[in-house]
Amino acid sequence: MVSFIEILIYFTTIAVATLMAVIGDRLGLSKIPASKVVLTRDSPVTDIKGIGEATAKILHRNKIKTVDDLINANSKELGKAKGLTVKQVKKWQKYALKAMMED
Amino acid sequence: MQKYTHLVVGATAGAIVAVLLGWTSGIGAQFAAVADQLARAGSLNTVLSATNQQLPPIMAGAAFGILPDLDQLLKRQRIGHRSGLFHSILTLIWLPALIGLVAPTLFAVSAAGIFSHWFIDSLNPTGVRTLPYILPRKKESLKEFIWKHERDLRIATIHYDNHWLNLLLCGICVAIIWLLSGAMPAWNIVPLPF
Repeated sequence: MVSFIEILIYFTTIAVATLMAVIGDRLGLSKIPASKVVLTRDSPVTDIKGIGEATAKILHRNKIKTVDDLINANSKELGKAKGLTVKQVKKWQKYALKAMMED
Repeated sequence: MQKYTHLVVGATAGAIVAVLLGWTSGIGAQFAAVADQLARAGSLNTVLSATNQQLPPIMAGAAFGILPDLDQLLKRQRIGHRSGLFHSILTLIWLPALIGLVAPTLFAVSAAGIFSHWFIDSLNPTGVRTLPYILPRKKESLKEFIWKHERDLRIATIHYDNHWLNLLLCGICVAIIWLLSGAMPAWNIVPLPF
């Protein structure tokens, strides 16, 4: 049988996490300037310099969500998508690879 | 974060729960029994029998502290690493509830261990997921939330490869466990000369 304190611990973890999420959102903690971001393969594409929310939406439509997806994408094919160019894609890929090497 | 950090922070969460539930006196004895049995035979069965079929809270906490990284094994399937299924507030709801149904004694320890994992991962640049629909700007489907990673929250940018910070965190946690287990007379370290 689960005791009252155990249930309290369970709900406390959920409450603390929810509070962190709400406060973090209000403070914009998930939006750290790109210059301060350390890139990993799992990082979202918005961490790459020059990719904002609008461009990220275009990339998402083309199944590019993480830095890893972008690096592995065929720049010529992705560049054909509406709102993107081959030159842009190559520039982002170069930036991502360089940023990860620096790390 | 590194796997060893998750294990140590999870163990600390287990120790804190043990204190809250009044299991403190058992921590040291259970550790000793586990170490003794591991040295003799080394099988999980003998370890469990040594602890009266109960996993010591520190060990359980460590196991649950690393459990959400199960999605790394499933990465090649549909589940992405740090997706909503294993790295979100939703995980804090469904996973301990499921564990509590199967093993009620592990309910609170699992909740604390899984929370420790989520919290530690929120210190990474990659961040963690929160809850679907909790943040008004999120307009993604529940399916997207469950299977894919997107950074909803990060409270620091400690890179997981930063072993110094990982080890510092582990050191702090080991000190907390030490204090909780009563191994050190915490408030009487330096007796006053007058």
